[in-house]
Amino acid sequence: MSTNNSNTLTLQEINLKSYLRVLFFIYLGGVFLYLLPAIGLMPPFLKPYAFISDPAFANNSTIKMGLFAALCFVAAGDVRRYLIAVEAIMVVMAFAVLSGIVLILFASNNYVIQAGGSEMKISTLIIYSSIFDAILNGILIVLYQKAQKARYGLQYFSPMQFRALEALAEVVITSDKRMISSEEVASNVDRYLSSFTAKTKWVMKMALMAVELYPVLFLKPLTSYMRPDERKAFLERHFYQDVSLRLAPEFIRTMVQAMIRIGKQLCYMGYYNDSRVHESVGYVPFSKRDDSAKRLLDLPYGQVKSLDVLTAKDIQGDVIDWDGVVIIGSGPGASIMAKGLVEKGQRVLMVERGEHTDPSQFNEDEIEMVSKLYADGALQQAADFRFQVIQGSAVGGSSVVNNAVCFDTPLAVLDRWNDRNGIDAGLDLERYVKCNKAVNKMIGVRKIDGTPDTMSKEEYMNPGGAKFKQGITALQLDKSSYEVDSVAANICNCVGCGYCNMGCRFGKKLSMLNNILPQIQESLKQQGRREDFQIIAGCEVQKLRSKGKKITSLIGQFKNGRKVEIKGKTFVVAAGAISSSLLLQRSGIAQGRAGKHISFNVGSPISAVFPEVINSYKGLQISHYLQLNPTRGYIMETWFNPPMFQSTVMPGWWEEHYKNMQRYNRMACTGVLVGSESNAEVRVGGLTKRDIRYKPTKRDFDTVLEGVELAGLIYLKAGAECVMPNTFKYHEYADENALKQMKHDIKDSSDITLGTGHPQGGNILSRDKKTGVVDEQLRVYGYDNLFISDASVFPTSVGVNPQITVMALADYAVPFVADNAGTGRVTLIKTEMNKV
Amino acid sequence: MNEIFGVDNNWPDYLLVLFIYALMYLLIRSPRPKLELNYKANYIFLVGLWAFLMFTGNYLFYRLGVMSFLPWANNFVHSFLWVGICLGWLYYCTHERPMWEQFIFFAFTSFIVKMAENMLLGTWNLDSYFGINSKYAYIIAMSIVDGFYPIISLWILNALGKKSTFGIYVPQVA
Repeated sequence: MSTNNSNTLTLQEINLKSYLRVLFFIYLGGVFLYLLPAIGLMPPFLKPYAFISDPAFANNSTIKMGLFAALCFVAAGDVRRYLIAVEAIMVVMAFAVLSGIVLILFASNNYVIQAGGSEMKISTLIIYSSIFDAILNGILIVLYQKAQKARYGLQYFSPMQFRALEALAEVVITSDKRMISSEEVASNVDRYLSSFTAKTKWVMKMALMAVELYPVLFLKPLTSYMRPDERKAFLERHFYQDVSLRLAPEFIRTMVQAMIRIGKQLCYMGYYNDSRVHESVGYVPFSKRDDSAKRLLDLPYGQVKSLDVLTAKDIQGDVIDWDGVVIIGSGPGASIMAKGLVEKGQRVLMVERGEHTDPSQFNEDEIEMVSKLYADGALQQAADFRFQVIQGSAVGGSSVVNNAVCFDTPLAVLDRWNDRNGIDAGLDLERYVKCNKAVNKMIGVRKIDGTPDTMSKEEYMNPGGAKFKQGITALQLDKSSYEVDSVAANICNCVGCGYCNMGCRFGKKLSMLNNILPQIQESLKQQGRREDFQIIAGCEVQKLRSKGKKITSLIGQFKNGRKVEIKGKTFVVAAGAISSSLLLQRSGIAQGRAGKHISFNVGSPISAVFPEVINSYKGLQISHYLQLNPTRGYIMETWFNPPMFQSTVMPGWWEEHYKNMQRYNRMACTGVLVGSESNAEVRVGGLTKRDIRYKPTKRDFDTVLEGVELAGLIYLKAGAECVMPNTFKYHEYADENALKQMKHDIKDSSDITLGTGHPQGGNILSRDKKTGVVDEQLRVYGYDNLFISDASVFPTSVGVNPQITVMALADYAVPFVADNAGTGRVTLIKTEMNKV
Repeated sequence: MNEIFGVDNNWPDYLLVLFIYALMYLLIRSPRPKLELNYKANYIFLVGLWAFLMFTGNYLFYRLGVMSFLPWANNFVHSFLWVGICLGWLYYCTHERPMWEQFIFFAFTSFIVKMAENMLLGTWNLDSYFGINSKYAYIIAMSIVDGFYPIISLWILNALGKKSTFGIYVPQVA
């Protein structure tokens, strides 16, 4: 821990102390300056400045300077203990400067005084005195900040934000038995965020500042200045009740909810990611579990070829002239597209926004992995901060951090897409289905219930999944038309560490990073064509440049701000639904259409507490699913996380949240995913330049609730003591009758946490140029050499995990892109459009 | 109107000043006529920053009695066109040269422009400055102040380039 708790002052604190002494003498001098003339001891050199002896000047200035001198004197005595005196000086001096500015601008009585041998307007004197105050205060603020940063070893937060977080942690994690102090929680978060590479992390700072300052609106002291019991009462009243009981206007509620959600999550992050806390919640990291050695012996490490990736330092000059296809992104759509193109003899250059992390570098630290593999993708929020869109941002894209769950595109969805009276996607469904099968084989999709001889199936998969299945059997849902099974995934011989969402370091998840991309490099190496496929990592594409109907180049920017122009023959955008839509908008392409018709698999988790320890953190994070009739449009998937992430979706406030986390190892969790209507949109705007607008329709919201209720019922039937949806106001349901109350407790989307890892649409596929962004060849309307190959082309939500659909569409589009890159022409390929 | 254009000044006087700016701009641009991809954000930032600082600073320092009054129109064209655009480009062309050379470039070109404005608009005009009784004392002093442009700009760019704030990129600090 970097916090300096020793009694020895840091060098920066000593500097502050010295400066306070200097200030003390300056202000004391000022007091004498004004008092001496009054008692007839005016020094000769002050005689030309008659205004000093003016009683109005002398009285006010003596009081002000005397007070400052006293505060400086006290604060310099012990800069830690009397820090509040320093803060008081800073605030009052800031007011002095502010009042000076107001007087300069608006005071009408601008009389003249004698200063030296000449006359001076009073406003000019105020300018000088304000500048003098501003300089003194500026130095004080800088020294204060440095002293506080040095004392707490702050790397990211300002002292005010740190204090706000510490104060919040003190009341949010409420227990006498807490394992680390609130100061340590805040220090942890500061350290995490300093290493976090997301550009939008400043939102956290804003939220903490807002939490700190919000009480001032109610004429109360800053949050960190309140006594803990008063602070908790204030938070309960204005952050909890105002929102849950709808006591404040909608705008205020939205803001307040956003502030406290971020603040709470930061506290949980700082507390539950600390290894000293793990034992108290009953969590054992994979490296320390009793059966880990046996599992690794049974299922040895799947050594994968490492990937060669270029970074900023490998790129010379400002321009790259690539004689081939340039693909933006490196996720499932991009990788399958690259593989197909390379096999057709094309040269491919991939440009990926995220960094490259070799799987051998993956570890058990949740925060470190989120920083490396998600970055800004972990902080994507809708404009009202009520809907989170989580996406991976690394070489390999979301496939590195997803649960690898694979579903074929539902046939009903394909028919809906191709409906000539509706979306009219114009897909050749016969060929599409072949592509779907091909990608399943390509990425190694299989049912995950194949177990080694030395392990029981239950041990191998997930104990929480077993409970889910038990409930389904009790409800006899398995005997209905519902589909209940263990999931199919591109996972082979999983060791069950439970870290799918943090990257698989054992080579078991056959992600693009582990599987397809190294395969491409290896096969080209064998053919002597190694130079035909390159990946540039850490380079965010800002804009596509065009000339007439041709895209000529793209402008990419590395994290250090350096830009590079990349020219190519054909361009494929495969950056994901949100980023691809924004890129098109920034480039002025498909204006008015790009970013519209976005849909999601809207998800909400429900947790269940069992009487016995079940350790759901062991095993596959998603092991089982229940799919109702596809027309109902939702699916349930069991899901569990290591403690830090689970704590952020754990329902409850104050003691309840703490109590729930103490029951962590007795819990199971299921996510309900609902394929939403396409009523969302994204645009370049807002504070983060990623303005996602989404409010679930009534139908979608009701479907989510229906799913959550059914999931709750399944767990209760399996013997759960209670179930808890992830609501803002805490609710716990202990039996079926109580569960029926849930739909009355959750009135709208502000009452429950909704999120997604599956954004879709934005650049939809349609033969109608008025709504579609891409045609049936996934080529962007109006451009000869620009294609899109990711979930942004989905005309509607697929309602299941979308990675197979993304890859199938990429495989489907390979011939069109290859033809374009090879000939430079646009070939119209006639499609067969029979129903499947 | 005197506060806006200056005593006895009119549009033609300002057109002549703009013509001189244009000539200087062409001269300054000649070694590097096109902005590099990685310098664009730096240039735009410096233009905005210096234009704003100069425009407000010229007035503030006049109020403090350090400078003579610049009529508002003169202050505007001098701050935005000359200091912002022209000196911004001069910095782009010279920022890789030794600092003392940059200092001379900036002070000298500023002297030329201030002399021109003094002759055409009657501004930058003080009979004595810092105890030196010469009308050139003030113009030379202000030109020397402009010589600090590259030093301050480098410091600011280096500070902001560390985290690529405002898209600023400085190779040696990146």
